[in-house]
Amino acid sequence: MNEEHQARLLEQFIAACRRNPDAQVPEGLDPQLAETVRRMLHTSPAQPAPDAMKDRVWTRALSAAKVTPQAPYNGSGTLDALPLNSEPLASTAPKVVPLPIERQRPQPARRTLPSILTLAATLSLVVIAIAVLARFNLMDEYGSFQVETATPTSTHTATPSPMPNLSSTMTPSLVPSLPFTATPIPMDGSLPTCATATIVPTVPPPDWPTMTPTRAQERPPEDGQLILVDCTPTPIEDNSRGTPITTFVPTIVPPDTGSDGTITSTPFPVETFMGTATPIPTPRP
Amino acid sequence: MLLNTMPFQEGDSAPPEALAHLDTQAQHEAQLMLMARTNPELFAPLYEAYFPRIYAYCRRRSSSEDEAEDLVSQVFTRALTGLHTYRGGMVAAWLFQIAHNVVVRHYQKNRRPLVALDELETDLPADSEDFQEQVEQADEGRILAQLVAELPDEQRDLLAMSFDAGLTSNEIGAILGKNPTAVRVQIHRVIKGLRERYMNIIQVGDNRKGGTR
Repeated sequence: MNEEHQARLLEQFIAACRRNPDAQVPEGLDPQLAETVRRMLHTSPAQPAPDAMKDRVWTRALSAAKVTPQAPYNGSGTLDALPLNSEPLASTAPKVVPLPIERQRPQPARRTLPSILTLAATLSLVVIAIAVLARFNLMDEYGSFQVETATPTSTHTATPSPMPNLSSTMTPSLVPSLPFTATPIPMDGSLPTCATATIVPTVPPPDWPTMTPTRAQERPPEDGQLILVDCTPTPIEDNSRGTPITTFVPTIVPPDTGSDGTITSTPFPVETFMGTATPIPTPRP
Repeated sequence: MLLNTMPFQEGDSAPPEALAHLDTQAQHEAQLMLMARTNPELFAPLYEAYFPRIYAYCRRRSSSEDEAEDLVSQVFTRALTGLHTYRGGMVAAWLFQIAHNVVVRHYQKNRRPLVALDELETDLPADSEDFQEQVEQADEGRILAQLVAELPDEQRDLLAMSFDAGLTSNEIGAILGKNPTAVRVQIHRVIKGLRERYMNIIQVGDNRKGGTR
């Protein structure tokens, strides 16, 4: 409390000393503090500014204010609430001659090239949109959109189906895993009645390192379908050794059959596919 | 005179109803501020009234007259271009708020203490032997100026506002956003500390005089 009292007295003394250097020390204020204050004020008084500087600063600030748009006064009731008979600041009358305000007539906003291009593009889009709407008879003669109501006539139920594998990379499978049957056909063309036997193609020898099929089966035989197997020895180049080798490449071809299911023709001699065959092993990568 | 409880800030959107609490002089200044929004030339009476105090404050916080002019020019330029930010209240507080910000930013930009160098002929520490020799020849004002220059920036700002700008604790509190009582007590402590350091230096000088005789 004493410090606050001393602080208040000190403030009063500082204000008094600024007005009168010989101001009397308030009662209760520490004389040493008062002496310090008086010494600070008297030994380094505030230096007055030159008049030329004062004019320069005012001109500079006023010029900046003229080029800076001020927010217009919103007309709130503050001015009306103020006493209009208040005394003017006679002691602070302006000594600086203010520069005349150069009022410029408001000029219409100039259109720049980008704005013109943007406007043209917008108009073009609007014209195109109207043309499209008119082309498809979506607008009536008055320019309004025609709205038609669709009435469903029947109801269908969609059934999902498995999607086919549309992969672009296909790996041919040369040997069907399905067992198949073959019916031998005699050379003279007669079609003897014989029992259907299940044969398994045999492809010797077992170590074919780089066997390349000569013809891929176009479509696998169906279960129980008569097929022909061409077991003609075919020379195949051994890529690893660089020497040709002779091996059997069974070619499975469905024969032409008649309406009763009998074989009517064969693409190669019947003897060719006598015997047994085994599926061709998949070539090594 | 009642003081706004909220300190004014630049760009503050405080309602102008605070004008009703001001005295006649302050109300007239506030009226000029509002009218100057549409015509900046009407700010001239306020410029005449506050230029000496603003300059004194800036001059104390600057190192040269040119630097002070630059600071004062910034203060009034910002004031005139920002008249729309005035929302009522004490014009002194609003103007010195701008001045304080200008000085602080100038100080931060230059990264050097704003000391009135023309008042300081030495930059020696207070306890050096050369400084004590100077004490024997220097006047008391120079010692005090040296001690003030060694104060922290915030305390020097307080003294500049109080001694040079003639602001009251209420106005300083409004500018700095502090309680006026706290400002008043802080000024008292700063001056009390200056007094103690000053007496110590004088004591050292007297002892040195006595020892050399």
